[in-house]
Amino acid sequence: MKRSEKSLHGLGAEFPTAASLLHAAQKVQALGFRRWDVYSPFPVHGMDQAMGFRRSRVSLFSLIGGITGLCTAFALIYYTSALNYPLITQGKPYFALEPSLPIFFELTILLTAFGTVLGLLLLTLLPRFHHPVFNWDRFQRVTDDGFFIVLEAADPQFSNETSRKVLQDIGGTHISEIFQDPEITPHPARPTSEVVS
Amino acid sequence: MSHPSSSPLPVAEKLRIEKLGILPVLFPAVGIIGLLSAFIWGLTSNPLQLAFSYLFAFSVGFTICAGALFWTLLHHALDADWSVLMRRILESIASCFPVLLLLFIPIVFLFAHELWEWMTADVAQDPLLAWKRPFLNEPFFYIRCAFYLLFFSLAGLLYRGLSMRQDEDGDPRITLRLRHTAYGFIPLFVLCLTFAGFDWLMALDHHWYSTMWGVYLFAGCAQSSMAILILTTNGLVRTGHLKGLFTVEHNHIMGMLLFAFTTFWGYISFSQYFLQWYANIPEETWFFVYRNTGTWFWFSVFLVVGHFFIPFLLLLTQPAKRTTWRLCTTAVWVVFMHCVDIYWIVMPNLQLQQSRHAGLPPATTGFHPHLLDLLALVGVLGILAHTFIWLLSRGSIFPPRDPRLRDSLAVTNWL
Repeated sequence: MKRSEKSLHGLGAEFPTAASLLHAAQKVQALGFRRWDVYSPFPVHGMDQAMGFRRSRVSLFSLIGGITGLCTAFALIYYTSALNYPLITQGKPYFALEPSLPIFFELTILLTAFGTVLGLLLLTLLPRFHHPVFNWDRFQRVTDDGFFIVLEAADPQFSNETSRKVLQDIGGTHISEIFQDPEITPHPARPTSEVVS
Repeated sequence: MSHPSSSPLPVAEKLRIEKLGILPVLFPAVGIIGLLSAFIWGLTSNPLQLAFSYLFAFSVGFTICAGALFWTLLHHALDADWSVLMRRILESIASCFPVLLLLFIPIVFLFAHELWEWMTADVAQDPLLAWKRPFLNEPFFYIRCAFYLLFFSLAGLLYRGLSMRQDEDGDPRITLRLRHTAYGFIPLFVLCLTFAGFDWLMALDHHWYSTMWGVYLFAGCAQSSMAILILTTNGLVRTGHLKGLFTVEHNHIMGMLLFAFTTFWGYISFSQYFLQWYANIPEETWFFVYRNTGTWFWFSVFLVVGHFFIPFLLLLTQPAKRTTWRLCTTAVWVVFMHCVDIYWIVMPNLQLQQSRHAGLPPATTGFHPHLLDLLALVGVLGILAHTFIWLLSRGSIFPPRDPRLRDSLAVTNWL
């Protein structure tokens, strides 16, 4: 069954070890690819630098959450104790900074945490039920002993031929096309199209 | 970690005094001139002012040395690896305690009755003091002072001495023995620091009490001595020491700890103030009333902003901890604010004593700096800095045969 180019997610390649994955990632990064990812059963030290990751933007969401929390706390305390129902307790002022600070702190921290988690989910496009890489049968070994690089078709540099060549040059094996939609075939056991390098 | 174990370990490195410029002459000079002029001028013209200025200067030196002892003990108790390279500096600061013991002698023989009102107050007129008499009496007070200073001196000398012995024989059992000793010394350290804080600073106003006092002083100790460690280490690197050994990762870790203890100080000092503000009990609130009178109010505001908010913001980002000049500028500021903190604790009590001597009810008038404050501070810190350089020049400036040295050199912060 021939698939259209449009439903292509990308090209995947397998690597034998974590070290070879790290070196391959450095080369892919040096070639200027943008939409690509590596997959390994465990975190690989130095992979962030090898892939050229810059600071994540999660901290921006944290900051927005924190400022929202601080303003919420101030509005809540000031409105309830100084405007809506002013009541003198223990001879203290209606509104004072001292008893407000713990509440400022708590709500700032709480909404910072919310902002961080939400920002993380937004930036990583989670939660999702499926990912195209799961359509590649070799990919199951990623939780065991498989190390993979996938160059995505959405990358401006991507083309089926040159990207395949790149993956071969950096030492990838079992280079395969990965498709967007789950495979619907009359033969469930049919292997994915595969090029042995 | 991933550091190849085949790479050769660095050899012992001596302090090169000639590289330090005028410092080896400047420190003892300002120390002796500062102390001598303070004593001659103060004793002849204003002994009361001198007593408080001297206690202020002594407390600044004491807290910095106590913080260094804390970091040394913590390093061993936690079997830390990153700090091995800088540990000899901490050990040398902590070994200045015998000098502090000598510097305490004038307080005992000249200033005690000027400083602590409870020593001369009439117990019959003061039921609260009568209640505290079993603790606040002179014989017990001096026994306690001797115990604190002897413990700190022996602990500092023990840790430096055994570490220096390891430089010669490379015996890893010394590391184990120091670790096990640290488990026992940390509770003793906490008790000594807390009660020294009670006796020397809290008892300046013997009606006042705060259960947060010990930990409040401790926060300042740990923060200021970390700032001193940052400054001395980077000073050594700048003068050509620790070449190829000290990395930006060490600065990053020290910056993180400085940031952590800046936040800790803010948290503890707010908690201390907040509880007393809320409870509103007269014996407790006077401490803050005295420090909110006149220009002391702006001094207190400056303390909160300068001791917490400014270093907090200066240290918040990663580049702030990884850029040497930014980290060192912040460290200088932190040491300055630590002096301000101790000044804020000690000096309002001088005005209380002055008003009592004048037969008036105790009151503060505002922030009135005196040249004796500066002379005493420069004197005590100069003597301590000279002692530190002398101690550091006695052996290698880092422990070259510590079993954890390799880990310390390879330390990395995964960003």
